[in-house]
Amino acid sequence: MKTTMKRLTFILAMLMVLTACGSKPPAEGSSGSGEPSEAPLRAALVSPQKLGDNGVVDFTYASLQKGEKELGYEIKLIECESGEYEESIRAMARDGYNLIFGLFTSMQDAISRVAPEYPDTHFVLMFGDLDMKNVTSINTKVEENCFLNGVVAANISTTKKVAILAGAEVADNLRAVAGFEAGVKAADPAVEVTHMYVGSFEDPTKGKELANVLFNEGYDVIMQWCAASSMGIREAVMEQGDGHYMLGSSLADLGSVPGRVYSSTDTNYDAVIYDSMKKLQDGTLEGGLLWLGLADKFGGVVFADDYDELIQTPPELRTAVSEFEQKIVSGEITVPTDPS
Amino acid sequence: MNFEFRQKPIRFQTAFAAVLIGLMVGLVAVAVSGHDPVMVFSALLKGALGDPYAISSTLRWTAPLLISSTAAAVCFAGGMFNMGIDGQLYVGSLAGTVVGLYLSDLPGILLIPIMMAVSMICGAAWAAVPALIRVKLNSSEIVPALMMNYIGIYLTDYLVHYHFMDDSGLGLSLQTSELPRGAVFPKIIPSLQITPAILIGLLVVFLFWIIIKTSKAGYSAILSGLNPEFARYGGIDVDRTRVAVMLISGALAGLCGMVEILSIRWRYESGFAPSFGNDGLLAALLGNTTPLGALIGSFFMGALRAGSLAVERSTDVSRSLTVIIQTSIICFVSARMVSKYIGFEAAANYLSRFLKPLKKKGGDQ
Amino acid sequence: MISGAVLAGAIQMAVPILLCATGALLNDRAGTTNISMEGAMLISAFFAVAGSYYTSSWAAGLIAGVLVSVLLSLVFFLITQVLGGDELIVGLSLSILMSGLTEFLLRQMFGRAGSLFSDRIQGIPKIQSEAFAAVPVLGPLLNGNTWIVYFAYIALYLAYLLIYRSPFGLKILASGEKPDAAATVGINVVLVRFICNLICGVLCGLAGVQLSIGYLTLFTEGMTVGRGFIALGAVMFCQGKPLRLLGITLFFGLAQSLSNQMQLFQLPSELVLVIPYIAVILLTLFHLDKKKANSLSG
Repeated sequence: MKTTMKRLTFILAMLMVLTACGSKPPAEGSSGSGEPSEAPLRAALVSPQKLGDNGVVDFTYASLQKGEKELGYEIKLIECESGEYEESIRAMARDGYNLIFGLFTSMQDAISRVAPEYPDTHFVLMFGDLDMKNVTSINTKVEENCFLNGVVAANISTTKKVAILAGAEVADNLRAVAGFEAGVKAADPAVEVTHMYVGSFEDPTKGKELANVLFNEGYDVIMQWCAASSMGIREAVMEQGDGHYMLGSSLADLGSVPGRVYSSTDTNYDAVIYDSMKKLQDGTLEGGLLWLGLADKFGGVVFADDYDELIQTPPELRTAVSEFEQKIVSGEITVPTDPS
Repeated sequence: MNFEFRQKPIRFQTAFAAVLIGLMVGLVAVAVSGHDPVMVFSALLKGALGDPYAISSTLRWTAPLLISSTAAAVCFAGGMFNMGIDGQLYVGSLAGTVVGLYLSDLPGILLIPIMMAVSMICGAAWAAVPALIRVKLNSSEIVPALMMNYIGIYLTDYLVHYHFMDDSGLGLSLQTSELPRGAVFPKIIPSLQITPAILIGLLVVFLFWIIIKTSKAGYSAILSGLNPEFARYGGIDVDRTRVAVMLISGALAGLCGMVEILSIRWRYESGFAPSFGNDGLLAALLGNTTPLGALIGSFFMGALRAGSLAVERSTDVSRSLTVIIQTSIICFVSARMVSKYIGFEAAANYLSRFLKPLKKKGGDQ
Repeated sequence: MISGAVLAGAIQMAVPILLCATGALLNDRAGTTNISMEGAMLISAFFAVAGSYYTSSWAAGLIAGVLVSVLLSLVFFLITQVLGGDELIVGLSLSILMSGLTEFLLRQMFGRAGSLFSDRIQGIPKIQSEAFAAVPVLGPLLNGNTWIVYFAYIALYLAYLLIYRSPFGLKILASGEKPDAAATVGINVVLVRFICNLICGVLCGLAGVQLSIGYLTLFTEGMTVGRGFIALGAVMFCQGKPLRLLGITLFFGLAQSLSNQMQLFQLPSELVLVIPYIAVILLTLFHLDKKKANSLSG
């Protein structure tokens, strides 16, 4: 029996080797070393969250695709699990990708370790604080956008109770919460505001349950900052009837539930992804740490009027939001980043 | 409901047939999804074994699996089913990392063993709850262990969030500070990212094998797993064996996480080891919960993981394909009759008769 | 804190667990252990959404979901009884396989990852009736549910009748407690277990359908979140008594509902979210009688 085993294993191994040698791997790593004229530039987006989150991943990927179409890049999206980041990023760099985007801070370790080994490759990290020659870290002042949405919430609420439903107690969520609550208070100190955490960015069931808890307690405006979990909030707000609103954190929220989504924060991911691709092509992409906010014309709040005929924003509200926006840009108001 | 897990030996033919069926299921899935199966499979193989980078990737993924599959296999050997490896892994490795951060002045050569020891102790402690539930209350340990998973994950998240957060960064990620560079594994072959983790993994499996084969404790454990009534009759304290086996399993789970941190991550991050518990369980089952089987199973799954990463990089095929292949194999691996039904038995017999006379091995069933 | 809304939530949240647990109860009494229920719920949830998506009708989704779950229980039966596989291993690996399969199919059939939501998906209509609203105290709890919710509780009663008040039930109990003796009396133990597995498949299918097109109208990867295993735990603790099973599943539902309500108190979210799982452990510690529990293992 042992000999049979050995023979069979040997035959199987030979078969495997033959198959491996027989076919060429589909994409040999061509060595594009950053010269824009000859081989097309290659950009990769490495994300720890999956596509279909109706949020950062979807929009950055859309921006990447825009770069493919308009700038002639060759693109690739990799969805990683924890533990694979370093390996994936290193493999992309080794394969000759010129521009590698990493989403979210969990990529920071991986990029910080791979970047020094590949000085000709440029890395862009979204949400991080690496400052290296070939790494650009881009952060967004989400609290400013959420502040403005808080102003909207305070104004449209009839019960004077509003809330924000965030995904988890991690820093950019916390900044969103802090900004939102500050905005509510600035617009109308009499309005009660609270926050809750779904515990996941991918659990719509829980999102709906928590939204219902809030609605049953008399809250009538909920802002969502929880990506795919917000699908549940949409359902809750639809079932609750008139007078209940959801405020979005991505333009895809607008018009999703007729008459219920009043406004949404707008994060211009093109400024991160597409612009980086363009700059690399022009040779002007630099390393460093960036914070993008309202003052950089990055973000703001969009009302649903163009997306939903049931929503008509009164001009006074637009003016109020505009005024607050000016105050933030001018520095008159500093939006807090800590919910305490 | 019967939650007693009794080991049944698996014949090579069955395992082989199971692997074939699993791969065929995968092939069908690939074809259905409109991709060229041959191309995908060759990409898979190349990504696992095709060049030095691929091999180092395989080793990187095999190392933690060696430890977690041994954790599962040890447990199975004693007749227990440890569904709680993930929770034990997180609790153990957080404890180890925290100790490492607090004692960061110690030289690496002292600190690393201390961290590993702490992770093992805490992992074992976390496994004590389901173990005691089984032994004292005579109720299945499966669901309590599973609950302890969730509790462990939430508890470690809470602790990191409120007590051990990394203050150097932007606080955007639930993680602790980085361990000092002297207190992590150096790379054996720097350009290929190979660390001592694989050696530790092999050592763990080796120790498992030695203990099972040669020691009285190992013998008691196996007996308790195969036939508890007989074991009790022979004077073995089955309860104590069960608890011990579960505790060792938990200790190994904690070690698995710690080794991953020491070799790759260098800090504790929430959710840093997704599916290590599940994969370890599957690898152990694939290898019929024996030491050699755990070795082969871990290597197989490590190679599969490395290959699937490469496939994702070079094609449009998604990763869930490998999960389908893996679990299809496991499903069939315990189906002892399957080889008979698909005629493989006959084919294998014919082939072996053709190649060399069949050697009959007594008790091979 | 225990308001009508929390109770209503408890009753709703208990439903998927209750349905699975009822099915598991049948299996348990018949002497077979099928731990693939988590996977069954998940694949049913997926196909319910898929069926509804392609036909824009919830009925099609419902049938698709239930069918696929029944199919899965058939596969389980085939591999364990006919091919001699080990129940625990096959159950567990089938469960994980379903997880991978739903991920794969989501991408394959819909080109999406993470979740599937669309206007084309029709959810099961929720029942609002004045007759219900008129009922004192329980009124608001009874309204706003899909018919599956009501059915779940009725199903448990039907299961009780089947097991303890019908001739077939005697066969079930005999197959579970003394299968060898039952075989000599002419009971086809394999057939009895097969039927119980089928029924369990139907019930788990309904549970999955309720999750995806009953409560919500979408599918998310992994949306079952351990409910199948909690159902298993419930069946273990209830020791064959349906009334106890009801109490236990309502207890879990309440724990989940309370955990959501407690988010209002601004406690650390991790500590709040962990409540249902701790509840299960506590239940184990306080609920079990050692002597009685002996009958559960081996």
